[in-house]
Amino acid sequence: MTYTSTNPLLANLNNLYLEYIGLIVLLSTVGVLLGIAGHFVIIGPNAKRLGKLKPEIVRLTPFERTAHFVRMLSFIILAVTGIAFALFHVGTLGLSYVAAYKIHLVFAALFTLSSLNSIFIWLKDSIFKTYDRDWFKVMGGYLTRKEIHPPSGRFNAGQKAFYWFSTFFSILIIFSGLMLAYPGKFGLNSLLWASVLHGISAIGLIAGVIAHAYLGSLANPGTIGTIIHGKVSREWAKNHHPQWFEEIEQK
Amino acid sequence: MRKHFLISSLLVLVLGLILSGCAGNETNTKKEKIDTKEVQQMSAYIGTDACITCHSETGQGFAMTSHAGIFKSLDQYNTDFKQMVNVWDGATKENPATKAINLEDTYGVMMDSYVVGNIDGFSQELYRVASLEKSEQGYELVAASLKDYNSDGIQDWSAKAYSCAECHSPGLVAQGLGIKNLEPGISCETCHGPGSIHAQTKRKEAISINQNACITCHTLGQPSETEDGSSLIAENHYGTRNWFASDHYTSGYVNCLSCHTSHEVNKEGSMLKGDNFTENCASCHKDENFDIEEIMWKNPTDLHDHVTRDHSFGAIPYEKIGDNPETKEVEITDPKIIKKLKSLIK
Repeated sequence: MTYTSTNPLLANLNNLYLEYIGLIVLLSTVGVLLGIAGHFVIIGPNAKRLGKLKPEIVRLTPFERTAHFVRMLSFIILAVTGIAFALFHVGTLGLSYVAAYKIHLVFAALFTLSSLNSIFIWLKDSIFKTYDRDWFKVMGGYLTRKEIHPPSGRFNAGQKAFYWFSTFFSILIIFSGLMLAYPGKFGLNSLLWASVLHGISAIGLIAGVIAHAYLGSLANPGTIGTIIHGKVSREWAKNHHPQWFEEIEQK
Repeated sequence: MRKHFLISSLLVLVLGLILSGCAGNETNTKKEKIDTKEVQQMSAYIGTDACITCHSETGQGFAMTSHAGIFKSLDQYNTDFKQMVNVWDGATKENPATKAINLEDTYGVMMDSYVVGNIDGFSQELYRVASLEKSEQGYELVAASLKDYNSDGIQDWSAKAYSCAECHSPGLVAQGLGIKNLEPGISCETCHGPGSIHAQTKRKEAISINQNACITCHTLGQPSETEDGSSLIAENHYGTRNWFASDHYTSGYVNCLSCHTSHEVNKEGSMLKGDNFTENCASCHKDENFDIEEIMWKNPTDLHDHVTRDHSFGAIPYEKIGDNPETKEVEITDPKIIKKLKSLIK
């Protein structure tokens, strides 16, 4: 019988990951929040006037909102417990390791369910179109105080990018998490890969989700209602998502 | 809508199947032999706080043991360490360096007596910069040793070289990745090795679990000899050295952890499985009655209460070693026993 040893490249990567995980967590949370604060102060919200209008067009169905809510809630709980695991500070949460781990598993199941669901229901709306190039050229207008509304379908190019970003990392985090929940079923090196990739995906998702939350609320007045009552104003739709607005007007 | 419902139900089913297998997955069902030593070489130290994240009960038990108290941090004493003293390098004979240091900047206290620290510019890495002396008020700070270095008629504080670190504060001399996470004294990873890969993969085989950990310090060692080589000088861990001559050890059936605990203490506060000596022996020797002073003798000339009770369990009786209580250091002068012990060393 041959003995398994660690792949040196992986072990070195892992040690690097362990050494800097604290700093990386800080950058992906506090760092991103500071960036957001900077953006809010220097550039500020986009098209403030659209925030005060009456929401009347259905943008997200109750099913979509439920999926989003479950994914959001489970993500927050997973992120908090997950960071505690990564920094070996579960006690700070006032929980025992076993309790925190069970909570993590239950919400991981909900996250998996809602993520796979979200990936499926928003796939069609997230396929890039030729006009999305124009959105990227001006970065959605987020880098200027001027009000710019580049072309956009139901989702704009930035949202589509976030869809693919979160899809990629969600699948990665779900699979690696599944492996880590069954340590007896995998080899040592596979588990170590899973551990590192689970952490990296989590960092990516945490940073991305914080930015996503900002863009869907403070950065774009009139948007936050989408995930609460599901509606937006006609003006909002016409300005932010002209191609989508045309589509629903024609129906 | 119906399509959505169908997909969701399907997903719930799949997840249910996955999670149903979640219980009892700790054992390694994958047939894989892990090279613990090699894995540990690639692991980093993560520190006690990380270990007790999962092993909290083990951590609490360990905190009660004498191992945990072997090197304590300064804050565990009500002594005021915040004081500047001028110390001299007692480890150098010619032109010893001198430096003013704040005793607050030391690493901690070994065995409630040696205050251990590093002094910039001194010849050695670690020093006993001061000592604690038990007084009615608690512990008092005194010099590790006194000597008039500058011939001004006043005794100066001499810092002595600290050579006990390997066993008494292994965290101070550990090598490898993540050593900043280690406490100075004995911690989980002193015996179990660096734990990062174990913590990440939950694999038992990624951590050391064997009595070699005990032998690292409670060692066969290299007994010191008198100048003419005719007798052996007792060392601090004399008793555990003689363990290797015992029938317990040579039979191969008994090891340290047959009688001793690693993470808990008995009613007397010692790391024994039974509540006392008699009970401990009785777990195997039911009808026998041993006299501890005979079967585990304590050397009467042990100056500092350093020497462990003999662990040869009768293989090396006190009467036979040829000790002369008149000479301060404990000695083994019997040539047969010296030969026996030396043959065990190899």
